[in-house]
Amino acid sequence: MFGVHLPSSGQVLGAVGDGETREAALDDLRDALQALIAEVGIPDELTLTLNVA
Amino acid sequence: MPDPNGAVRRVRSAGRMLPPQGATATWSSSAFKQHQAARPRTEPRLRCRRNKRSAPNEEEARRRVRPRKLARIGQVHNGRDGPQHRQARCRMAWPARLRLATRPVARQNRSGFSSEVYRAVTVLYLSQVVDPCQPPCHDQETVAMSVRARTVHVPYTIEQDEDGVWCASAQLRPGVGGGRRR
Repeated sequence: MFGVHLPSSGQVLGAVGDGETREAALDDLRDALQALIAEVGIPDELTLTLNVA
Repeated sequence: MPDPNGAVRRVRSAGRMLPPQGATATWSSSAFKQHQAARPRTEPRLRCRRNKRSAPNEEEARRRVRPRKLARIGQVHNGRDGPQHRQARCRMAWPARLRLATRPVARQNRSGFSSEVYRAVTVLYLSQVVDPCQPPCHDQETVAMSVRARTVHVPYTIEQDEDGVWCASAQLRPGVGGGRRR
């Protein structure tokens, strides 16, 4: 069961996921991040694209 | 003495213009109209005779009729879904390299707009969707997200608590949030 942290101020926080195994926890975290990104969008720190020669 | 109308009568009696019983041998337009009106109305002619012949009934024949070939992207023929007009069909019969040379520059149709106008509008609409120079609005971003997957790399931490449960956490903005869930 994943969780998404959304504060009242509107700032994007983080997500957690847990499971019986390591892979299950990561899958849960992946689902939580997808739900979080679908809700608030991808933050600017992760969407910067550079054209380097 | 041979009948001067005998040849005509033989030809007519051999075909579908067979006069009804009791009618005179000579045909007139009014008699033909009465004969046509007395005939049972036939079913509407299907688009493809081959399908009508092989299909067991009319519904099956209509289902077997192949749909019209759709126009290519950016190619609209007077608002229709294919080259329906005789001039357009003749033009499509030529190879592509000769089609442009034989194509009229602007041909006025009944609605007053040429086919070039429709094509220009279509291309502008399509280019607006995929234009990378414009800032994406909500609809364009939704369309772009739906057609291609976007990979986002997010750092995460994972640990196992005293109960043996693995807990993973990630932060979209470093230094803000994350951690254990209450």
